[in-house]
Amino acid sequence: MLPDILICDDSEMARKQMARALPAALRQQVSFCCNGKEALARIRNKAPDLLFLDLNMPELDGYGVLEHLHSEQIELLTIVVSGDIQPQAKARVFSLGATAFLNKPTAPAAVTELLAQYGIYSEPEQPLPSSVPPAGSQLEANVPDHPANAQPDLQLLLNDYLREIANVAMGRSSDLLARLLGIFVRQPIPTVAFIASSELHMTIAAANDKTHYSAVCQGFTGAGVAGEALLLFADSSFREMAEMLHYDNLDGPAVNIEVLMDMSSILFGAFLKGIGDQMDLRLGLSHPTVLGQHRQIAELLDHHHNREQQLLCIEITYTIENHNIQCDMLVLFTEDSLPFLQQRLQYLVE
Amino acid sequence: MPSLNPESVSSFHWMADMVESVEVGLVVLDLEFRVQMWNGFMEYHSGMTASKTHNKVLFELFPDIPRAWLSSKVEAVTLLNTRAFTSWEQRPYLLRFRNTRPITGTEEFMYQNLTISPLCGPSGAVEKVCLMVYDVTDIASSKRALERANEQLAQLSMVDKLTGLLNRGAWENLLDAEFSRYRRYGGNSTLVMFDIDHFKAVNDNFGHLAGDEAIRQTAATTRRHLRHSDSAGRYGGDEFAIILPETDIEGALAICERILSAISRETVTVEAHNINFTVSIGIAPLTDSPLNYMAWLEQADQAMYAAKQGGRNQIAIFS
Repeated sequence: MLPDILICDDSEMARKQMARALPAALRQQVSFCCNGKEALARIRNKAPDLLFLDLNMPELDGYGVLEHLHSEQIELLTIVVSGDIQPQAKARVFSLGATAFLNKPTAPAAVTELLAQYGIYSEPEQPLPSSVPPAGSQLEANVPDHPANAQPDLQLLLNDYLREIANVAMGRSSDLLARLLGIFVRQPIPTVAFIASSELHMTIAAANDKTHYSAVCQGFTGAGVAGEALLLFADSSFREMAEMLHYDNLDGPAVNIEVLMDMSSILFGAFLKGIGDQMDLRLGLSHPTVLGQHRQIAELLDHHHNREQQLLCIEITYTIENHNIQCDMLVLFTEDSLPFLQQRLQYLVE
Repeated sequence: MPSLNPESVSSFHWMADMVESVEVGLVVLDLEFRVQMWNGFMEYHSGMTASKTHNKVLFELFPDIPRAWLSSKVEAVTLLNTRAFTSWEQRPYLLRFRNTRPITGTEEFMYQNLTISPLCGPSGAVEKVCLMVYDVTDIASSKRALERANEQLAQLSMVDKLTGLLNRGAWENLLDAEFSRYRRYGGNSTLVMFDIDHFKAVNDNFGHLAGDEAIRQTAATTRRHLRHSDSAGRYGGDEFAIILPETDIEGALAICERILSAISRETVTVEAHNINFTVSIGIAPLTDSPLNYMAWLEQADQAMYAAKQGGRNQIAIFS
């Protein structure tokens, strides 16, 4: 008998990618959930044979689901699928009872190998074309909220696609940061929004408080896309960050710039490379520059928008566990980049 | 970019020529900091030829280079296989190159931005790093000139940046004018001076950002209780002063009591600390006794001192 499979991920693109990575024969028995709460309700009602679980989700995240399964003593083969590739993330999910860990984006070969390893499913030696449905057609019918012949809302899909790509790219920069500092970086959920350039400061989560920030920015360009990345660092976090980076000198204005430059080198470099790899694109980076220091965010971003345009904004708010460190990373794509991004999206949804 | 055809000697030559002549310093180091490549830009500015530097340890060639700093950057680059950037604002230069422009150069040395890039061998492991040294003297000197100009403008301006109140100079001009007006036409006019009680403790306990926030909020509260014709200024540090034209002692007291009680009721929140504080206020109604505006100011200051002596969080009137 074929196993019942549940895929739980907040991103539609990730759900599809996961389903597509399954051997064709298994795709008929797949159902989907968009967050941890939904998944738990489904599992309590009738447990599937296998759960593919994302970590980074709204409502209830993957760690929460694992904790519930454990405390409610629900035995369920769970494979965590995540862009968070920090060694500590893996250690945590295993200690919470997960069976295996797959890196995003999911590769079909890795899934097949895992399924065989746990005795869930092995590809027949000689595939029987009559009994195995063709890939693709079955899949579309299985993905909820998205019938095969309805025209999907391109903007919503683009948001979802970028959130997932940002999620995977963020996993890489968190991993670098974690390795450099020997800490665990809590993976936030990236937000994606279209905004007018003049409204930038209003959309930033951190802009509402009166905290003072310093900012550094770095431009990036590739064939078809361009934009810039901004890192907003809370002034109150500098000293602790300098300590974690093991600087000899912890005070003085040069230290703050040192922190900004080091953090931006690590976070921007890995993040933009992650974005580029997924979109099959090489991105050139300009030298980062300090935008301003010790000011409120609205002031930092003021005077920088002479030309009104629609920007695509990815925002990631980093916090570091057990440390009073807060920084906000923004990646902004120019209006001219949208056709390219949409074209890449078409490849991925078709 | 055209791909380098390893069989074509000529393409190798012009590629090497390009690297040699590009206006960016290029240095390739192995992981022991031995120089593997040193391009023309580096030769011209350092006065050391490529053959002289080859295979020498960078720190021995240039003892002034901050060894620990550069080593930790290079370490991170090789560990993480990612580029690192440093800016002239954190460290003006890596290698001290003299300014080469006798007439137009305004700086003593070349300001530099630095990019440290990992170079991988065939196995994919980082085997060497490339230092790219950019001459940013023009940018640095114009940014520094702009900063100096802004400082001068701030001095010329009338508004205190932190509080939005008049700055000391502008406010004193008004005080002078009010004093002269009284001399000529008489009438009522009252001067108020106040400062935050135990302000040093706020700074010491909660940091300078908290102190700034206390000053800002005190100014905002003060402004809310004033009339259009009143002129408030930031006299210095945590000291404020207000000119109340056409106002007698009773009128001044009413305003000051409102300010005193409003400030004592408010809480300043900075980084999860809730800070409460009070002010001490001195009032000096203008009489014929002060000979100039500075003497009038001195009277208000004495009254404020009396309010402090009286136990703070109160108002005293010069008599």
